[in-house]
Amino acid sequence: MSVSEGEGRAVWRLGEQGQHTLVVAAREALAAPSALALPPPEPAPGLILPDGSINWGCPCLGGMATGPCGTQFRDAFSCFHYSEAEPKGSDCYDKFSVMQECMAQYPQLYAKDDDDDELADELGAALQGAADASDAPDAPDAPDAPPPGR
Amino acid sequence: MLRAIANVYIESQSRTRRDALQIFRVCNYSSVRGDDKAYFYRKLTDERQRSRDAEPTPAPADATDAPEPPLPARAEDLPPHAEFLLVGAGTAAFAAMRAIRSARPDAHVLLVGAEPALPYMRPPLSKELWREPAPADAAARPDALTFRQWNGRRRSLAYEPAAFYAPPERMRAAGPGAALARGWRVERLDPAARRAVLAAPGGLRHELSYGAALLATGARPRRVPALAAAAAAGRSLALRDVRDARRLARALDAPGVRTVAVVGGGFLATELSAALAARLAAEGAGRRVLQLFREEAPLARVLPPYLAAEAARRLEAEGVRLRARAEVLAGEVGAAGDVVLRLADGAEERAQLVVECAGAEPAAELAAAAGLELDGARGGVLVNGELAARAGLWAAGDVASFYDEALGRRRVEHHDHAVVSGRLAGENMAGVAPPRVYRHQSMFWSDLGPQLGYEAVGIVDSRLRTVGVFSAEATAGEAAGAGDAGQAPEHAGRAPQRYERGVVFYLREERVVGVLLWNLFNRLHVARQLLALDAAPDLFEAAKLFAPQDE
Repeated sequence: MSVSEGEGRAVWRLGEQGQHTLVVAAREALAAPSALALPPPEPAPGLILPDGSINWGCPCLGGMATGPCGTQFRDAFSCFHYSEAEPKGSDCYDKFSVMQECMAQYPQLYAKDDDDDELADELGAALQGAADASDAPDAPDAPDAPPPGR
Repeated sequence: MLRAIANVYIESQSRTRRDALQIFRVCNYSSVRGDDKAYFYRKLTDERQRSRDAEPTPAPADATDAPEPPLPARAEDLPPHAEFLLVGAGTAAFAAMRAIRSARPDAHVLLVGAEPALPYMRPPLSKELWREPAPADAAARPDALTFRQWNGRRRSLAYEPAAFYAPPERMRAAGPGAALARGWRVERLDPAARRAVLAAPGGLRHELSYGAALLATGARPRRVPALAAAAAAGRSLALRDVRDARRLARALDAPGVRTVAVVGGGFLATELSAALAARLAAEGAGRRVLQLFREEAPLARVLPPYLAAEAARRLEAEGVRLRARAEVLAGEVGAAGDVVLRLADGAEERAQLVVECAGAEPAAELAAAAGLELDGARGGVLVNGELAARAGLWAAGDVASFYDEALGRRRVEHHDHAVVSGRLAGENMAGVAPPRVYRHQSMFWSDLGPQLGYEAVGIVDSRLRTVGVFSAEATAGEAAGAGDAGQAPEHAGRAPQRYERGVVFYLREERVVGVLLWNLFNRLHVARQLLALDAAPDLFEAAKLFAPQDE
């Protein structure tokens, strides 16, 4: 038997051969803690892999790393990621320029964002929240921090 | 989109990155955005969407089936060698291209697709398309087709716009990037010599060599032999690609169509019936959908009987008339455009338009001709757990019969499987890391009307033993008497008649091989973990992990 009997449960065996077991249980019975413990699921790889490298296959990038300006994007973003300048990425302006020039040739693919300011505000707020919550300001890039599951 | 990347990047680090914002402001461009759920999608700015809505898009005056010229239009424009040759330009091929180019930015990838449209996603063709104001017009221009998702945002049907792919006049150079040959087919493949012959209508032919190839030729709809005459008269249609969707939408618009008959009881038939019924109901003109199927209830081959009955109730609530135990023996096209469906039990049904949803056959002819082994039982090209058929040759998507370590050999015809297997094949083809085995279970999903959606992973077949667990509050019917809706009955009288949400486990040889989530969302990761277990645990305890008592 693959379903334990218990309080607050009704069980039917349905189907021509009775192979479909149906269990209807009271809410309290289902809400009780489960005796089954599954290991925490592996988080799907995010933009930054556990070893600190960039996951170019991250779905979050869409076609950015694989399209016509893929190489330029990778150069710019890698530069930014590994940059140790202050502010971070300030030694990468040239690469970003090159990327920008490339993207300008494909307006169909890389359109300007109209809601620039709104998103900037949102991001600013997110950064502020992160800063408030963060324990370790200005720690060097943390390769051991797993990216959030997506 | 760069802001989105900045956001994701910042979230994954532990220090403030106000300066990152500055950098990304300098180059304030965004781009297509991917999604790791069921679709790849492209976000459109409101401005672009407004301009799209403003343009009237009349359907081309020509007949639907006028062939479009292939792109490139000349064989000389194709390259002599393709580093990565993808046979097919559907979802699996697209996912493979993404994976190859992510791993190898220098890679040259050539997708060869018979359809004139840019690579696109299929699920909206039986779902969201039918909520658009003018589906026939929308489907006439698939490269520009957008649809509205559940959250109100619009997405393109095409995975990427034409600008993403190498311009046809520069394809010969075979530089890094993805090139797309549309309206071309791979006619012949020589896996030992790694050569292929491409052909296009008009006698165009081109031979090339390749480094590695992927067979992602998909499947084609199975036609109902009894409806051949009706099909020839243009009254019985299949639904597979966007051209079919256009044909169906145009046929639906024709005057005199009062009843649309959908033949089939599986996923596509059921989903399409619900989608069309919703559309016709919104019209308010009294047009109806009639769904005919051989089984007792729709989805009877997938769902345990009590849920199949629930599916039937939901469909009827959407306005679909169901005709169970119906086998169509003939479809006679009469005067006035009627199609008279003669059924095996002697009865007749009448419709003016028929849609055949009788499954699909894998398109494996090229593989057979190339001397590859096919799967006699499941159809399709035999590949191993790493999706390889031969050295230098892989297969993915609907056409691939592959070895699944957890669930055994399978062939899966779902969208997410095309994405997952295409991606895996592409990664293995790129060869940057040792090849990996198919492990991440793909999922599928569907909606039956606005109140019910289900998702599933693994093998979901009602011939298997199943265990369904539902909260008493989420069921209703005679077993719960008046005022007892919240209590489980002490005596198992008649089983409930209504099922709002719950989980069903499918078992084979004492192992959970499938999990179906009925109106329960964001829980697939738990389902995947159960599939990975070697033996079925106590399923009531397992069910608790899904919190079926909550929404």
